[in-house]
Amino acid sequence: MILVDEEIKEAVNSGEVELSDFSKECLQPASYDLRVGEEGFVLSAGRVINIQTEGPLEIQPGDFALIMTHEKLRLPTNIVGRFGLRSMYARMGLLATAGPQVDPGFEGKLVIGVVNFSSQTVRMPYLTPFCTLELERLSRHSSVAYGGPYQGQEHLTDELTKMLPKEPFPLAVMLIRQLAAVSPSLRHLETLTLPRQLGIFEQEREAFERLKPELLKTHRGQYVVVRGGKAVLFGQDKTKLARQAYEQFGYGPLYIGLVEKARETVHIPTPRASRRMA
Amino acid sequence: MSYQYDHNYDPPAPVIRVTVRSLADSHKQVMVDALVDTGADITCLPKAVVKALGGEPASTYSVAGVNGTSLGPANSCFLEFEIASTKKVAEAISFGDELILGRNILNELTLQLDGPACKLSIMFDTK
Repeated sequence: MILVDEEIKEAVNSGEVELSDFSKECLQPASYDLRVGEEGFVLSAGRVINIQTEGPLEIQPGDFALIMTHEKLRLPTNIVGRFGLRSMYARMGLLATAGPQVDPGFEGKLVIGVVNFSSQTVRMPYLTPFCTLELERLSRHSSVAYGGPYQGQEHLTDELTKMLPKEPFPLAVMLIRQLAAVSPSLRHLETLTLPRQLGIFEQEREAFERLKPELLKTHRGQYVVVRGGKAVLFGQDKTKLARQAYEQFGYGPLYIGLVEKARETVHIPTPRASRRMA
Repeated sequence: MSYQYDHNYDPPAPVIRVTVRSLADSHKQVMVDALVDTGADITCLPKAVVKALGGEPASTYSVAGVNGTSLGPANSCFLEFEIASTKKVAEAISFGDELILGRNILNELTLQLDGPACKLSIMFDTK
């Protein structure tokens, strides 16, 4: 039986399970989010990094990293743990590598390996919830508790890191770099399809500009739907007008314009967005 | 409903989990963490997302950036946005490379930003 949030909290409060620095903010409906701990290791850097003092762990495209959790975990012999990367990191292109389970009786901090399969550097700041731990109660206590080499681990040791390959996975790096190199061409190919898709829309927009002088006399300040080169609907609320138009004509090409002399302007003063458009 | 700030921004920034859905085909949808930006007049979506959802252009805006600097024209489209289990049709422009929730959507929500705890809460559902 997988423990739900209240059961996880009870298990921690009763001391059955230890999850150090327990925070209710990390409780999920049936799991507990583990946070980035003090120590990380990036293959390309080749050394253990103190994330708390040196700043976020930066995982380059194609690189492999080990991240030690902030939480120290202790499981009884009738509970097993499983964990996975939080979906936001999966969507960013990270893939977690780990053993199949956290054995009953394990005690220590967890170490999660991640590979960055994206073309962007992913930053992992200290104490960011990055993976989630599921706890499952077993039908009975196991006859023995975990007694492997990672029992009691609280630091990334040389023994742990020396087992890793000497450099980032060459095939992954090569593929990611090649994809990044050809992506501008792919974008160009994408734009080749736009004239066909935008053709009707552009025609409707031109029709709106042609109709505007007359519309300014009769419908100034209102929104107008132009379809088939004609003004077909008017209204004050643009979204309501759009819904009405799509209900009436189906979701297809049309132009909705504000009957004013100047084109509508929107302000997006977000510096990040401006920089990316420049 | 609460969301942790995204620590991939420096400093951490408030984000909301949003499902964006095509109006033509409800099976076409993407779920993303959107940056909350009260400075943005309108919601922005990357072109690739609009394309993937089959968003039909419906309007054209002039986009102004910091200090009113012109950033050129951008087409908009209407899509369905699901936030905290509430669905709403809203307009978004094809602009930039991340989802930015602008005031055309934010003004329909009651939000509480708890900066020290890096937590954003939606106090109640959309109108």
